[in-house]
Amino acid sequence: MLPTPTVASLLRIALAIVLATVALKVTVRRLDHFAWCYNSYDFDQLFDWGTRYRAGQDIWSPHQEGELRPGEPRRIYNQPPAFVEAFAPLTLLDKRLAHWIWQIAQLAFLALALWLVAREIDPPLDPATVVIFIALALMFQSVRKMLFNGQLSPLLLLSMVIAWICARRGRPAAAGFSLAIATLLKLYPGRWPSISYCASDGACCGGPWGSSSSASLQPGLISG
Amino acid sequence: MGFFLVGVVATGIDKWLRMPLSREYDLWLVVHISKNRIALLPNVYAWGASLAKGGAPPWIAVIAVTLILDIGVVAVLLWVTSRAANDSVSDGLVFGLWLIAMVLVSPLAYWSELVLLFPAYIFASVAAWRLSISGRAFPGLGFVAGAILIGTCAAIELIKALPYFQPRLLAALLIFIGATIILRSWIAAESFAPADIRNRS
Repeated sequence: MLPTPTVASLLRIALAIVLATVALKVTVRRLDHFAWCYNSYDFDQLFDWGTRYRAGQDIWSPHQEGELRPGEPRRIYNQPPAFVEAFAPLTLLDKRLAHWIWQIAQLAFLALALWLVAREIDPPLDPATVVIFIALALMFQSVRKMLFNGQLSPLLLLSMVIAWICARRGRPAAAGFSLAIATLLKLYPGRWPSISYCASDGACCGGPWGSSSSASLQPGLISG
Repeated sequence: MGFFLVGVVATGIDKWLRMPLSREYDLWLVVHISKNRIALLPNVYAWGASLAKGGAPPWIAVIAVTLILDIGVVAVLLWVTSRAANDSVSDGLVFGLWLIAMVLVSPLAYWSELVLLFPAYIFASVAAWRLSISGRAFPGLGFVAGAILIGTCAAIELIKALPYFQPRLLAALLIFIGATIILRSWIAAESFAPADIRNRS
């Protein structure tokens, strides 16, 4: 026998509260556990590039001098220039504080991206279900790894999600702007634009999918 | 494209032109064996290295195999994009699949980039849930297989005691397959009685 809508709704709210509490606890524990990672790969590398870029040093030179930390040679900068430009102001802060801000920002971007994704579903999900999705996502092992490495994948996800939503709502300029931010921060692979042009235009592939917002978004599908 | 070009100019074209200088380091990252890589290229290289008994596999073979796999991924994407209906769940699933493909065909992508799979998880779960409560007869073996794949991947991500995917690439591949199967079932159900399924929350 299926529970009545009221009981089901109450059960969902209870589950959302429990999962949100557990997710919060897990996230706080992970942040605490990885607090030392400001001095570890990848964050220390990003911070070193940002610091030296701000100081006017050549981070693109094939022969980098010095060590990132004992036993770890400095590497040539291999991200798009826009990323180091955006990251450099963070290096004005103490490294430990910068790392903490970076981690909190990435978690906020992730939660916001997931909330925006869930909000796009029609008919809309109730708030408890959205909370359940976000809580479960925060407990994923890949989020743990993202925090460990101090990566920027949530920022990339948020940019892509905003671009997709804007495209769905018929705001191509805003979609293009968000897409450009994602592309400027993380560049690869260059082969997508031609394929996606076919997908979004439809004409060269003969498909009736010219209006699909996902298809029109593909030029920004760039990672690396 | 215009915004991107403005960004390139604003940050300095000369700096962008220097990006290929890191080619050697990027190549080292591709061939440096690591369990955490989820892109196709470094995984194909690692398979090639294991076949070559630890030696360096021929690059031409690695690139050819990667290209074939990339074409397969793109073919699936073009197929689902052409078939998808114009509702939010279909569109979300297509968006999720494109995000997974982005990770797969990148020259380098790591475990932490699996957070880009979340839209596929969310839309596949919603589609599976709405299909299962739509009151229709048995939804089909494909749908069940897709739902099991998504559920298993989520369980592995959530339960630390379970062994994680080896290689990590499997996580992205299985979600890609599972979401594609669910999207196919959703499209089939939508064409049969759209409002009935779409309005289930």
